[in-house]
Amino acid sequence: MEENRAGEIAGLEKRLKAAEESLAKLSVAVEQTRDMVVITARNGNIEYANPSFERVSGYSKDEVFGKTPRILKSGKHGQVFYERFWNAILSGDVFKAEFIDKKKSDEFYCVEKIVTPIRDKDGSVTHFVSVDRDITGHKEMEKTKRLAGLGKLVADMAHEVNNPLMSISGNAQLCLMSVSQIPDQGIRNYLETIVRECQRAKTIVQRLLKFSHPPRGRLKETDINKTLDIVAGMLEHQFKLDNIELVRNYCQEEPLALVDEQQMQEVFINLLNNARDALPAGGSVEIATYRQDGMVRIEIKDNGCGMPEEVSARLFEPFFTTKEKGTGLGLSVCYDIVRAHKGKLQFKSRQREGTTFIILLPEAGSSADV
Amino acid sequence: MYKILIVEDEPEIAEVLREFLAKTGFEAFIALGGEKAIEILNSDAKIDFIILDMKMPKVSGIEVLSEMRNKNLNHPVVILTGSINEDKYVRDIKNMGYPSMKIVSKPVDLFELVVIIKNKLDLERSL
Repeated sequence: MEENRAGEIAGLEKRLKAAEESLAKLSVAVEQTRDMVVITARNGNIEYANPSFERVSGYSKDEVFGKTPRILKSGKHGQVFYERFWNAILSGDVFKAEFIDKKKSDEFYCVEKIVTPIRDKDGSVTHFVSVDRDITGHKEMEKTKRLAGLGKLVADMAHEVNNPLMSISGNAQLCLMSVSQIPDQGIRNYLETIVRECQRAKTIVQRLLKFSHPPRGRLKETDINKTLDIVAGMLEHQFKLDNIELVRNYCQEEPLALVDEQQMQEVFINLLNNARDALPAGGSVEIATYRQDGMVRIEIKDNGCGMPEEVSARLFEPFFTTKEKGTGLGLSVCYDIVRAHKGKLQFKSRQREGTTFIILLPEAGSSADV
Repeated sequence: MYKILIVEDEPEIAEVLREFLAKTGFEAFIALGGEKAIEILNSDAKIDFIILDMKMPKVSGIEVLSEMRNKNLNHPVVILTGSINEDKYVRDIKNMGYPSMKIVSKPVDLFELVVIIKNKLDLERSL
């Protein structure tokens, strides 16, 4: 009898130890995996977050405990997207999608997310486990490749387009000359429109061509404050007329970066003009510079109308524009120029509060410079 | 009457230029491509001015200029280009030892082109 019980206890202890070992192994695996693992209760409250989540999101376990994953909401997805997500998981389905989430630092990151409902013995959903893989770098690369491919295509095409444009415009100008003696002003107007529109197409083609012309050989160590001053000086008068105050908030120490100054001026002009366009009734635009972590940080901030999600999501897309007379190329060219300088172009926007564009350039002499 | 050589590989454009120049009092003739231009330049043909396209198959505008340099031909030239790669052309032309050269990009305002040609010819005459 005694022997039997001792045997049973030993057996139980063995099973318990095995279970403990298995649990420890699972726990270590979840703690050490590079994927972000978050477990929430059925109501969405976070009960567990692994170190990878802490590393990527910037939130500590304690900070998120009891909160819902809504703290990560980037505003990049519409209401319908979240409804589909909740409908799926609450009815017990696995949900898999690419999400753009927001870090504690307000930076965005992109994940491939799989949310699986966890069920108890009776089959009721008690928890959800979310496994996120950070694909931000991958997405950036895809975008860069896509833009570079487009740039090449556009450059090839642009050369070919100018010749037929020349032919159309030339023939219209010949006609203009032939009808110069006849009294019909209407015909002359039509022909002048053809010539004018050809010139407009030429301007668009020239902007397009800038895609494929990264700065080469003209990089100079430049005081970014001075470059900004040149541009601000050029635009200041117009800003005043539009009732916009231009505030300069430069860092004291020269922010030096290796840039093609002309191209960088174009970036600043574009961003400042966009800021002006966001302030039809006047307002203020702040230009600020900082030196931080081997980078020069330039901020152009307006207190205008901000952008709705559907606009900000497509901001750097070539040909996307909200302006009546826009080509939709300004920001894509800026993006391309900044990228060619090994920099980053980012933005933050809130509706009715305004938009801030942030340009990060490697400081001259830092290991990251061009 | 001034004689203008149009060096352009696209016949539609060459013809528009020729006709427009004819209507503004010039005698213009066409070389369809760089090799044809070199042939004409090496002949006894009288030429007062050259309109030169840059991007042409086989023999490019730069090669035509280089041939002119070798043969010591100093005709006034205006460069016509469909590309915005003007910086490169300016460098190439400078490297060849030419002084600055007027570059106009397609599509060209033909009335302006005529003004450019007239001014250049007047300048040449006054030298």
